[in-house]
Amino acid sequence: MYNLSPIALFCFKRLDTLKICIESLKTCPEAIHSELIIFSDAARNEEELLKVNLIRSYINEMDGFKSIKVNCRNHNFGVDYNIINGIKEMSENYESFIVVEDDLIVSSKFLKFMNAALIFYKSFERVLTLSAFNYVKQPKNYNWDIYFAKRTNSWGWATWSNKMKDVDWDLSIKENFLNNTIEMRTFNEWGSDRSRMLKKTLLSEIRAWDIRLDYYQFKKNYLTAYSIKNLVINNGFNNVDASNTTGYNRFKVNLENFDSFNFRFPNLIVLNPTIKFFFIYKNSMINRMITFFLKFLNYRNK
Amino acid sequence: MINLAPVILFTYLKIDPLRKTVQSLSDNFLATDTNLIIFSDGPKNINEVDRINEIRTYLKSIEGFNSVIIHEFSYNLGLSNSIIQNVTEVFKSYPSAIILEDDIITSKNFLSFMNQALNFYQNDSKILSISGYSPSIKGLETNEVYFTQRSSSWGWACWADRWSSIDWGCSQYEDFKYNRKLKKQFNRMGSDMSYMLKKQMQGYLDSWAIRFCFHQFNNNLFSVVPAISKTSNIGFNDINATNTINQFNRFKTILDNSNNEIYNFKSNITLEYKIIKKFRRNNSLFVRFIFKIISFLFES
Repeated sequence: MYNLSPIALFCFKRLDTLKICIESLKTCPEAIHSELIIFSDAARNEEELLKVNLIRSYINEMDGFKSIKVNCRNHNFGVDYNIINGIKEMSENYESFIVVEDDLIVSSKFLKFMNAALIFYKSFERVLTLSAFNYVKQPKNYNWDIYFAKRTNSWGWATWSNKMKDVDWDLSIKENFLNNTIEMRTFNEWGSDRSRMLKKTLLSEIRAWDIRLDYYQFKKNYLTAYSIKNLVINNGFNNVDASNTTGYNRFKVNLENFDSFNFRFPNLIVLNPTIKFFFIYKNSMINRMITFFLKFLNYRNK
Repeated sequence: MINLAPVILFTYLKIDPLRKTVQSLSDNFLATDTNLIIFSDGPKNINEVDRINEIRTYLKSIEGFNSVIIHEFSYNLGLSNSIIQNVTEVFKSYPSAIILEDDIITSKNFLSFMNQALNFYQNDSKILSISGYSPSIKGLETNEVYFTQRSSSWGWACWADRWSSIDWGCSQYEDFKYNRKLKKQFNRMGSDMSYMLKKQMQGYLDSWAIRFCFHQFNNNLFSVVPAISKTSNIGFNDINATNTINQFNRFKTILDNSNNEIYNFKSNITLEYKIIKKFRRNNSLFVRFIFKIISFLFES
């Protein structure tokens, strides 16, 4: 069996979603042969301490993987620096790795897809990350199992250590970016929310880590390879109250799987205009307005 | 006797055309001295397993060559990947090779022509490939050759050193995409070429050949083409249909049955406009349109 890439799992205080996440990872046949490295962030106060302790005792009893390493943070890193430091630590120890957060549910082909694509695109300098999350419908006559986009994704992704070593995690570009409206506009080409996100992150209003990787990708004109089938869903939207019953099942319908023996990966960079259109449309102002309007109607009918 | 180039044959699912291809190849004058290397692509899904097994049973029964080496893949590479990957692999041990797909029948002097051409143009770095297929072109001597800038994928040959320099990622496409002049020039060898490249780069098409041609265009390289075709594509009539449809095939050509083995290779490489005009006729908009109508009228 070929070498499988290790899985980095980031978690904080949500035990219910973490359990579901781990169970879904175990549905992948590759899990038992994969190393799992868990980065467990520390609590900020007394109330969180209980939850974090529960998480850590759950982690210690877990099995179903080739090996499990637990990296307990001794103080609170925050969601951004837990992941950023985690990526740095993974880069030092492994050649490539898969990143999962505790609120995700993955399909049973998730690890197979990631490992295959990690091997296939290893030598492609322009492919910065891989994504198993996808919301774009496959266009007719587009027969590849992946497509390329110039935007990273943080829900179920993977990368290579040598491609991560130059990423500017500390955002030394602050002044340059905030005064450069042209760059802000071009940065929005693959999603109209990006410049605003970066701006907020630069001004420390929000703690986003992925926008930093996104900006690096944008500056270098690198790409992300997305799975054409959606292999990941986010379980994090239903809060503590709305737990189990709705959670797992509601999103399950969106999980897709590949049925062929192996994946069809293009051996050159292809950029499909139809996919790009739908990719951007999802984050566009119009679509957000329509969503908001539909929600409003729905609310009134109740 | 000079060392003969090996023949690389790519197969996937189609058994009937494959039989004809192998039969016609083994009828070649040089077949018994030629090494045959077969790459059998694997099944895409569970439904294709039986057909692939049938192909592989047949492959083991092939005779009439100096040696037959069969490489079987348990998973599906796709033709484009398979050719790029496996030809590269073969070129590690051979300086040149002749490449066939499973739906190309060849004339008896196909191998003679290819080997002689490979030998003649070995040191001429302006030649990228040798083409076995040629559309019917009138006004040329039967043993003559001409030059084009469009490689054919229906029975062709290449050298290891030329092959290794090809940029399969088409990194020059970014500049090409918005340049009308370049696109027009690229279309000089057939009005479908820019369109095919575009479809390739958008992911609607998976063709190694258009990338091969794009490399050829960017580096101003030539292909050697015989006056009379040494190959014919039988892949247009699919699974059930027999030869009948072939009469409406615009790529139909006259296969060389002269058994001639002496060719007049030219060393000054030029594009002759008159010949190019005839060469690209099959891919012109007008001919494509006419054949669309004919096939619509007679095949439905």
